[in-house]
Amino acid sequence: MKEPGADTPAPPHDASLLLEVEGLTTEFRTEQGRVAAVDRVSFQLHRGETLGLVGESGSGKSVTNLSILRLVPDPPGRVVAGRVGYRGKDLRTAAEEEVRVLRGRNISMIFQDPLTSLNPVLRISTQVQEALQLHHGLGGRQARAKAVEMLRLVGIPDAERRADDYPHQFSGGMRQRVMIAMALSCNPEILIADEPTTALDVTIQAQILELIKGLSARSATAVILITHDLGVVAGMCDRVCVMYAGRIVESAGVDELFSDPLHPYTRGLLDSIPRVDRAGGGRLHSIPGSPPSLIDMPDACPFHPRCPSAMDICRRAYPPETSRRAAGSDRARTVSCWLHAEVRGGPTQREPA
Amino acid sequence: MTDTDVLLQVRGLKVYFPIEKGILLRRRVGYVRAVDGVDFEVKRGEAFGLVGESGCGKSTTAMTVAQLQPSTAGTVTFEGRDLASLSPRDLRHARMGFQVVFQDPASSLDPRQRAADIISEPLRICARLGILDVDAGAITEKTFSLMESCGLSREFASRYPHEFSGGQRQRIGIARALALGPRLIIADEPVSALDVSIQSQILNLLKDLQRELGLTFLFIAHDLAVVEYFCSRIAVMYLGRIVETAEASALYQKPLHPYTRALLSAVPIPDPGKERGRRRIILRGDVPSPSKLMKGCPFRERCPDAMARCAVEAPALTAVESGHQVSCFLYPAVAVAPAARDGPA
Repeated sequence: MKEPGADTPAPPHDASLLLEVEGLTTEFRTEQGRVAAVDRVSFQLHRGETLGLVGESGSGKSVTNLSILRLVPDPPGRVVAGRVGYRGKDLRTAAEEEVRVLRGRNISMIFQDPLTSLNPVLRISTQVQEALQLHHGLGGRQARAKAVEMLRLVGIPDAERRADDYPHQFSGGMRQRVMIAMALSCNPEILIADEPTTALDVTIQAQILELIKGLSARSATAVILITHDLGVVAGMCDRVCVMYAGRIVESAGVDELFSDPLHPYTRGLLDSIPRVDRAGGGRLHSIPGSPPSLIDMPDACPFHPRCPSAMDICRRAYPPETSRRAAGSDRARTVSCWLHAEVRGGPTQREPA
Repeated sequence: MTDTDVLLQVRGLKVYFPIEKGILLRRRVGYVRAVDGVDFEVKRGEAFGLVGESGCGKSTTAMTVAQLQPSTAGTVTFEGRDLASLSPRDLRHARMGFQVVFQDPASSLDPRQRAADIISEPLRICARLGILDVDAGAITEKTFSLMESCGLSREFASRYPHEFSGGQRQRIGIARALALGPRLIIADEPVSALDVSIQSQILNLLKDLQRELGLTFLFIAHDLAVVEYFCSRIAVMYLGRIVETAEASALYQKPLHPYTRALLSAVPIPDPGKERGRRRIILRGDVPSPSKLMKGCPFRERCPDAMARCAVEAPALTAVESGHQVSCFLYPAVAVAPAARDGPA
């Protein structure tokens, strides 16, 4: 199996393409107007890779993933456009029954707060067994044995006995391990981890990330990692999509993104984090202002009021997505910014059609 | 160092919360030792950081220093006065010298008050109690100048907290804390609830205010990168105790305590190349419950370097270099000029 974090991204041919999201748009109806929480989002997930979705609160990263799995509460939300290609099907238009079978078995999810995602009145074993019984038709005893095995695998000490405990008897880190055991019990092709370590302390975060990394490498599970922490992205992901105001503003391989961020927002974000590997002291770079309200967004670059390089055109129209391929990389990187919109025979060539 | 350089001195601070059982005859069955013997000193003009993971007692320490939580034992001396010995009236006076900025700006601002009223409330209260001699006009003027220095436009004065973004709300909280002209700001996780791009704005604001007003900070945070950036000296807490104290740069370049080393190695660095080459010290297990009475070093169960001795006796915080103290048997104490330490009691 390919080690995660290795420099080689997945090969470009289509055999490795696992999930293809195209033009996904999810709206919420509110009293103030329509909110496009996810706006024309497109990305591809390849077999065995870890894709990071980064952005600040309200940037649409969680709703993107809820939309993929058709878990957006309707009303008030609705996926209004786009395609979610998976195994030759469009998950957006497929029958509810078809999606239900895939959920948990082929594509599973870990949520941010394990306490609210676990049922407080059911034993841990019951909850881990559920998916196994449902998707794999295992009997009670078999399912329990498998559940205990999964709990052991995620590092719960004394798993046989602890399996009969209730969620409140577990610490935060242990609960997140239970969530991971549940998510991986059916050996999914895709694991969606939504801020899996945000509620945890750093030493526990290190344990959990190590676990996700190891397990996904072992079973070649592709991971979509949603996070606001660029440090976590640097350590975990092969590719990264940066989201701002419901749109993906930049996507690139992890090394390209950190060494040569193209979008002013990505650059601003990278510059504004204090880092333990650099001495403190001087002023931090900061992005002025705050993210825009998504209600009835005008057709303009949503970042222009905060952008140090804003031009006239940025106020008038949303920039087209420019795609380019760096030397030595087999996958294109994209950016939606007017600064990069015109590439008239510059040093970087356009992606061949 | 003379005594006048020390603005805040904390000695042997303990905060125990009793655990009680029974309905009619409630009896004490134990204690949660949230803070279990903490000593530190904050010098005038510096930013002193307390870091640690949830439950290590850093916030309880801060709230006890702020006199918002009674202590079980120990003393808090501010500007040379033991705060516990003051009468309620004198304490109110003394409080003008130290103010708190809280973590969650949404829940620490009264949703029914306008921004200007929130910011001016400390002034109005002190005027009413006769502690401060200011009239309404002066209060309004002061409020506007506070708003301005915290980056809030005057037009926001009559808005309610819900009309502000998270970062702006934290600016209101900071303006309120500055209203009485404090010397010490106790900032309890002031940027943890904020997004990255907003976090750096607030950190810059606090730095600017520190320089302009000569403020001293007791800065509590769980984010080591933030603490390193903001503070000149740092104490690392684990299970109610300080395990290491050092200058920020020394702590990050040469962490000594096994816990500090693990903590630093666990912090992700936003640089894929560095991340790939890093060796993480992954700690086993969780932090033990602070209600369990532990013999020996509180960290020994998770410590990769634990020795037989660690189970028997608890190491004391000792200086191993000038300005660098650690409580671990791995480091024999060296004779350092006892600059900040007390002699034997």
